[in-house]
Amino acid sequence: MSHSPSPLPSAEKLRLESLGILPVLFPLIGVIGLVSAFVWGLMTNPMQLAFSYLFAFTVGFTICAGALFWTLLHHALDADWSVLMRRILESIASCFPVLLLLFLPVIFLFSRELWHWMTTDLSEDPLLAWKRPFLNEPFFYLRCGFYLLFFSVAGMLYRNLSMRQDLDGDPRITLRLRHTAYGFIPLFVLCLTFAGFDWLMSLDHHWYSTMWGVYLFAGCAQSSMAILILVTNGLVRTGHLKGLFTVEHNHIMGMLLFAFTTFWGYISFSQYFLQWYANIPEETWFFVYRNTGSWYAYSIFLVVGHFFIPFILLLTQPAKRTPWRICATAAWVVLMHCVDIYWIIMPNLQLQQSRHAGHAAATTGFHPHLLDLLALVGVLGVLGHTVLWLLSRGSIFPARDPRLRESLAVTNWL
Amino acid sequence: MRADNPSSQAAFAKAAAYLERQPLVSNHRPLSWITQHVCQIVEERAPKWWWILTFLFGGMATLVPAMLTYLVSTGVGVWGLNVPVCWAWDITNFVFWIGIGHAGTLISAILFLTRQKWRTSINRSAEAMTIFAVICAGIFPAFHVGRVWMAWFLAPIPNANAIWQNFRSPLLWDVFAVSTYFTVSLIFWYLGLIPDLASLRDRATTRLRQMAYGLLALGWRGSNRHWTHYEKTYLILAGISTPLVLSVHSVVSFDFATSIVPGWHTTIFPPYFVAGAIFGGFAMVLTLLIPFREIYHLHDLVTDKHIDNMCKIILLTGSLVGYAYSMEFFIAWYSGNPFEIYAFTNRAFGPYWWAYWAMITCNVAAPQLFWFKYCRQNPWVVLAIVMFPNTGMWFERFVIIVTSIHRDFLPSSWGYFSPTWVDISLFIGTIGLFVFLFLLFVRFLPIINMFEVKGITPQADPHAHDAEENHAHSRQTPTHTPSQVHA
Amino acid sequence: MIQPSSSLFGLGAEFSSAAALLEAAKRIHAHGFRKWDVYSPFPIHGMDHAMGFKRSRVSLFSLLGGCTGLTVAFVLIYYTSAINYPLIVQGKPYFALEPSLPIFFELTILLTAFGTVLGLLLLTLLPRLHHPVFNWDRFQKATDDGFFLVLESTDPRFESASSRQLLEQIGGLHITEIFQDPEETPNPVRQETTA
Repeated sequence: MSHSPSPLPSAEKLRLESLGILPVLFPLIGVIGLVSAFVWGLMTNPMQLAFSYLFAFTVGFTICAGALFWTLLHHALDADWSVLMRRILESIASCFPVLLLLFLPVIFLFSRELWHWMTTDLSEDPLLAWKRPFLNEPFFYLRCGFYLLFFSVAGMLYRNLSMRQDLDGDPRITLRLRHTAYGFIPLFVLCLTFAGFDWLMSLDHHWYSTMWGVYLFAGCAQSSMAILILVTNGLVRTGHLKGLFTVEHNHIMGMLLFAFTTFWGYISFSQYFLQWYANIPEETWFFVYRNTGSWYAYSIFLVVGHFFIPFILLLTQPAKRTPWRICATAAWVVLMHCVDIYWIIMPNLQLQQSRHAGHAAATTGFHPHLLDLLALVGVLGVLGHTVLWLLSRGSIFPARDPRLRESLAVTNWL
Repeated sequence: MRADNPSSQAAFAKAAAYLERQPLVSNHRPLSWITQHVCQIVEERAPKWWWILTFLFGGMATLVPAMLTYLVSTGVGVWGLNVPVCWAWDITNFVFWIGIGHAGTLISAILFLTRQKWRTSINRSAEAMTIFAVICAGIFPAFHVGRVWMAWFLAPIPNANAIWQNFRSPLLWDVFAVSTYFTVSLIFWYLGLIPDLASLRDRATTRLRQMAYGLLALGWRGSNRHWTHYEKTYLILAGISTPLVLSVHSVVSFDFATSIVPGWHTTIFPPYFVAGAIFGGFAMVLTLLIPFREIYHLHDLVTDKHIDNMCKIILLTGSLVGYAYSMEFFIAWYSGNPFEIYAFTNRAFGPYWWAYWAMITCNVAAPQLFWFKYCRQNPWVVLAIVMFPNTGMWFERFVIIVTSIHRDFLPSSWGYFSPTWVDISLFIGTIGLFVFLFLLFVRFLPIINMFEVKGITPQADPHAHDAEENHAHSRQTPTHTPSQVHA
Repeated sequence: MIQPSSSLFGLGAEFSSAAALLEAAKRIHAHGFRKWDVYSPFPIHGMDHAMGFKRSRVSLFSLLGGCTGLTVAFVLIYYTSAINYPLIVQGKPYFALEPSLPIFFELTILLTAFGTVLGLLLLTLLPRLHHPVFNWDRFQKATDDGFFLVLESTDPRFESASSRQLLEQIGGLHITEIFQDPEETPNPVRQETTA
């Protein structure tokens, strides 16, 4: 470094005025979406609202958890290329306090609508009686609180310390964050796995899969990388990061998106395939239901859209180096992530409805509801607003990170 | 700011110094030093220890043909297999060896795609290890079929019975996966050798060497019209090897996981097997590399940083394996399925408890020592610690295979497996074969990928300001290169 | 001073570093030479661009190989399991996508690898065990630490004297005429040439 010629770039603020209507749009759709969903849903169809809301919450949660994962991974691996984009990841990962608030309605309004095991009579369900030490309400809420508190603390810690480094460029902060990451990653993995077990897998409390945590993680990492691509390119498009962000950054992010697209395909195929092949009734139920009626077409769409389309779209080098192409693919991946979460959650709504209606002949198949959209728009609006607000509080990249110079000079020479 | 007073300034500077990237080749070695240092291993007379070791391990390797001859001439019953334990040491050894190979492909393909330049010093020997491990692995299933002379039935060749292979069977997928893996690894390895073989050819002092290395080098002359296609080929092979390496151990895990045997049928098996394979493979890479690094003084090429990185990968994958163990246990309980619950209780507290706890100690507990910097920095401590994963990964396969089947659904079909002397000798024989092949490799081929190591030295960067003076700066200055360079 | 010979392969020059060779290649490319090449012990970043290469076509062979592999796997499994000798095993369908995917995948990978290597050999015209550049003794350094540039005599712009001047201008050292015949190529061990 003794002969380094070019000075480091100075900190750059987010220019909200260049973002067009977004700073107004996000809070607006957030409030309108959530208020209308709650008012309309609670009056007409609380169970539909409960599931729609859980769907929207999970989409938001997984994207933020993915951002936290990438932040922790960046520090643990002492990566260089991602320094420039790290503030964006930190801002997304710092949304967990908001998610904690957004989770309150799930606890107070929806939990008994959502989780069948909370309302089942134990004498009718010996399996549930066996699982009672784990699946009981006090422990469940305690765990939920722990996950969200841990994620909130981790996300804010990484953002706050990184912001402090903007002031004095203290390299000790980098070391401290690296060492913290080693401890946080195992905790993160366990929290994400058990959050997946609690919120999603236990919607059908008889079904189980050891792969579930990995499956959810694959979706988290993939969708948040897609979001990162969209936000970064959006900022570049609106005149930020000028001269700093290069095509090489897009290339690397594209490669990671490609890698995790493949990883998701691998994990989801393995999970499905092993249960398909062994054909044990208590397991296959999960997939049998999702392969019946119009859910079948939906499942095929999920496989094609979540794996094959982005796989082909990202295969070549120009696809990763051309901004509009990589952004289009990233947007598609985010959409397919929503489709994936919907596929996990929504079939349970119909099962719950049929249980409550007292007969098995309730509607099955893919039946989208306007509440799904309202809740999703609401949650994403609130989170989008939070991210923009957090980004506008300081520099949009870690201006005095010791690895910033390497990040700017990164190339894809293999 | 906080860095005003002298003591915190010192801490500030210390941290900044700590963050400096270490050079990948120490002591600013010039290019010709790399060629000379690596090639002389092959060119000078074989040292005495090499002859001793080669005879020793070569002798051990003769156990393989000896045991196989005994097996074929007597019958597969000479192994300790009996109902209900029909898969035991043979399949354990198969999965063990095939897993060892995975680190080689990981280093050569995945670390290549993720731009981990430190891989260049270790990929050659790791890939060689892959090939030899797969050779050892292939012996077991080939002879486990019983009548090995009928093994060609596994290939889709029209035969007199007019029936075909069962393409729905995981065992047939194994045949395709392992043979593809072997072929592609061999191609990848050979491709990487070509420019280095040309180096050996050009340095050859005898006609025999010149002819042998010359033939193998295919007439390589370092032309850029060749490099351009060569690099693309290397990239594509890395690209296809990455999913391939994941698929191979996944397919191996399918052998178990597609069944309905409690303890085998669990969805996390594919990534869990892959993580375990990489874990065991890296342990084996370090086991082989540390002694040869000392013997041949390769400290400037395989630096402490390389060993440190590999220890961290072992720590990571060991923890992933620990995650899989705990998921299996938790879900076995959570499933409420009495057979699943029994299978796992039996693993930990049944007659094979010793194997289970050996596995946990070696695979989950021992690698945690790599949290301490001291343990990662002293090569001999590293060598001692990696013996645990080497052992533990064998125990893991033994635990999975034998404990899951030794107690069938009915107590009348319970049993206890003990290996026979043939089982043990054959396994020892494959260890001998593996080390023997590696010793031959060290003797006749360059153990460091010279051209790739040269490519990551500072003087190889055409954009460095003072490349001509060979000033080896550890850090490159940010030079903006034409974006089309790579396209 | 130098008489062109019918068996002249070209004019070789050595450069002091990768950077010097890259610079020289840019100049030669700018002069419009077509039949020339640079030789280095490792691939030099940016050289393809400097020499005006387009993207390597190896990936086309990989694609062809991969498609062949997938087709072969599909035909093999479908024909043998569902047409030629349908047999119910484990209550599974004669043909289903799920259990076929592992073999689809493996054969696709295998034939992609074959296609790629075949493409490499075809595009580089290797193996070719002998080549005139090997007649130049100094050239042995190309696989060690030497950086070379050779202008071939078949290039229409090649003209012995002016080409030598050009190579000198761009910093070439040890400029030597390389002949098809090893005896004709001047090698410093045997005779000193004035550069």
